[in-house]
Amino acid sequence: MMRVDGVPNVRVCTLVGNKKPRLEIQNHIRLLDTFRLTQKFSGLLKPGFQYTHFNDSRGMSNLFYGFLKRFTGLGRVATTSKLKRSTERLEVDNLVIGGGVSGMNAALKASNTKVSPNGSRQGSVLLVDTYGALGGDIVQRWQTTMGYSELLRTKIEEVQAVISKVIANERIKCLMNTRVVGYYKDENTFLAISERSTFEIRAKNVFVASGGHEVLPLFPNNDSPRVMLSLGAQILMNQRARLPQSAVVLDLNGLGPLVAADLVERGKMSSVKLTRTEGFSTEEIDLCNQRSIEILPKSIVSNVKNSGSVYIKSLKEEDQKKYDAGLVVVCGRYQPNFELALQLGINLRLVTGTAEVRILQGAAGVNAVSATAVGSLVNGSYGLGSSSPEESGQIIFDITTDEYMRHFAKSSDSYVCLCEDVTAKDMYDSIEMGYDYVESLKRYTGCLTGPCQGKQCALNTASMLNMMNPKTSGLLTTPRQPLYPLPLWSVASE
Amino acid sequence: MSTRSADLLIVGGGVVGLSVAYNCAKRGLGKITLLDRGRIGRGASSRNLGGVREQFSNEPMIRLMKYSIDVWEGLSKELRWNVLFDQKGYLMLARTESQAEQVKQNVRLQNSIGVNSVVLERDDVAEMLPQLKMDGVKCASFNKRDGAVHHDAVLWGLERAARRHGVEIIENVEATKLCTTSGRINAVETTAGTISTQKVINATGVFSRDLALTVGIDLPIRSFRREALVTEAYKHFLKPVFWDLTLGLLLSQTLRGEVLCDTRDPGNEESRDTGVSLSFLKKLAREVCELFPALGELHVLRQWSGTYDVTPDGSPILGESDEVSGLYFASGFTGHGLMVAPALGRLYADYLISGKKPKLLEPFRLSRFAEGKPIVEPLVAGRKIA
Repeated sequence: MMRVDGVPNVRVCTLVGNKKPRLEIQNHIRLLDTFRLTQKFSGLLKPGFQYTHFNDSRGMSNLFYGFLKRFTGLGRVATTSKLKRSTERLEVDNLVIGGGVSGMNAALKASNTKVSPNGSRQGSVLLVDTYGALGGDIVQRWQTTMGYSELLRTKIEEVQAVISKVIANERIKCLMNTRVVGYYKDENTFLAISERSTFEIRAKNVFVASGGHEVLPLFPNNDSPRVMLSLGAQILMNQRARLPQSAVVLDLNGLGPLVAADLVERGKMSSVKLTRTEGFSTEEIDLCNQRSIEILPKSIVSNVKNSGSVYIKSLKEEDQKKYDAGLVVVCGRYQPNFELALQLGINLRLVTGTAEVRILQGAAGVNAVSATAVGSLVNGSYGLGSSSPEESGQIIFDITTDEYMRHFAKSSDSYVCLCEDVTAKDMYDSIEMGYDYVESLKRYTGCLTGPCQGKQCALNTASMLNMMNPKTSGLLTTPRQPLYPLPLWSVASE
Repeated sequence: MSTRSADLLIVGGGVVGLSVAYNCAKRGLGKITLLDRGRIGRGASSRNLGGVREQFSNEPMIRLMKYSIDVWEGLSKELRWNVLFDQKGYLMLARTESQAEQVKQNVRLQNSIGVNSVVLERDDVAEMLPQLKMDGVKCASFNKRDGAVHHDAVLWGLERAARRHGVEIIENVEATKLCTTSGRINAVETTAGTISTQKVINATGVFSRDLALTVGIDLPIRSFRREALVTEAYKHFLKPVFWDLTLGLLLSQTLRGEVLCDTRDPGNEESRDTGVSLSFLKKLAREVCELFPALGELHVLRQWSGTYDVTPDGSPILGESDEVSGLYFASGFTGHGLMVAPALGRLYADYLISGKKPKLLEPFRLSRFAEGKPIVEPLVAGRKIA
């Protein structure tokens, strides 16, 4: 748990990057590295140990919860900023959630659709996005790059063209830096929060295009400060932060070569290595060779040490090699933001392969709202979404197990859930003990219940369950409102 | 499963059903089977806030809970599983004259039965709850033997103990019909065949009425939707379970540090819907900010809802049916099922072995409604209190 800009209890994994947030470790005592200390003892603290080992809750459990847990993590409630905030009520014809390419295309399409009974009026569109700029992750990632290959350059130009069309369209209103935190059936309302205001939005049609999250794969010490998701590393470069001189890029979503090139071009890194469990195309090899990026195909990262050593193991041979690298940049598998879609009753087909995830399509009617999911998360290798829904299906989780899951399912220093510190071994053992369906596993280990509410761990949890017991695959768990931690005062106004 | 039989069939794998199963198995009651229509404890048993209290306003319930807390205190050792029973105290806040009067009257009644609850004056309340805005606070009742448990831990502990003692637990099977011959239970039809048995315990919460109707008994039980939410985990700042009688606002900080919150919602009515509502979120946020202005920064993590099995007088229906022998009721807890479950397990084991109804259960008979002797309990979270 961190303190960000003075606000305690923040898990950095749930935070959209501000310009320059002030980060502090909570309850940190300088002389004592409490993180390392607790990690040392974490092997003793198996999930459920407080139920089996301390038979007197007034004794040892109180010591565990009341002292140790607070000592290593929990913060005080921040004294309220007493911000008086207004609640704005908005009524629109179309609500588009997510300002990526898919969302923008949906907005353009909706703005051209006639809505009134006799078809005389064109609908109003409200587009809501968490970032300060349109274009979604693609823009956050690649806008400031020069374009390493012709293909990427054309794709970026395409995105820019769509952005200008949206800006030029008078019927589309954009609400930036605003996050939709849930759909509430009782008032038929979407609740959205920005730093200054709370919005209650009612819409006749809604398009869900809210993208997804990169997820850390399992490998030892994947929670170490040296490990960073690729989007995070690229946002840091946008902010001209100074990064280490060397990195190992771990590719599970196909964006690895581009991210590695970006680290060399913009991050001015002198040594970048790229690993992947699959092979590489000639284009990718060319891209890397031009920038002297060392390619390590058919291999996995087998350990990361805080000292800066990264161990890489070839899938063919047993031996592992040690490299020095300041940073491990993970291009992780994508976990789609399916929560809102499920709250709306949209039928989804979620396919998660080793390298890509797609929300293909879905549509359903809920109350007066007709809801549609648009676009895909990773289309091809360049992160561009498609614009129109094509197929319909039921909720299908086609979750495959990646190489990292197979290797480190029993590892006691690979974390599945970063919020509640659940390791792969904890989870493996709990499933073996009989907590073998999502609801029970969630309650027993605490995964999916932390501040991120499963945004970082749902995919790995599902993969693990699926690997150990293929019968349990299916819908994960009921996605509960709010989708992001919400301060009480933000909804307290009349 | 067509030729199955059991000496005792418990329908409903919530905390009450499990507790009865475990206790009966431990006392050697023969072959015990427990059925649940879904998974163990997936109903109200895992959707509550875990409060445990002796502070009721009628004698039978106070006596029952007094016994139950005795059992709670030793339950972790007995089950070899820590149920995280935290006796942190339970505080009921009165902010009107009539509530203050009621609170004092309740404490007098509780004291006369041997429950050591006390009336806290304004200063004591301020000391115990430093964040509370004291405007209009009259007094509060407080009992330090009360507290809260972790409902999942209770379920796991009871389930393990029940299995250890040979209880057969069948999940995802629903009892569809009770069968009788000449006024006696002889079998239960389920979605997976018939189970022959002489004794059935109906512990199916909000579904109890449906099951009892299959033998023509109309239990006066309705389902009542309740919502709650939980915040992120924080350092402990709230010691006792806090309940404001005016608003119905209930706050309880768990051992892990999260704050469980609950309030009365006018939108709550007879419903089995388990979705959540914006009106509840807004009402609760307003009330917390009003009573505890310093707690506006609490971050809501998730909302959920569950159902109460509510009776007309707010007290459970317990004991054997007068019309159908061999059919036992254990439902209508009106939100108090978890806290009485440990006592109930023991009492039912005594009951079924000796055939004599324990004194503590006697007042809760179904016929009390017909006799005009309801056990009126106004202290029900989520309902209007005078």
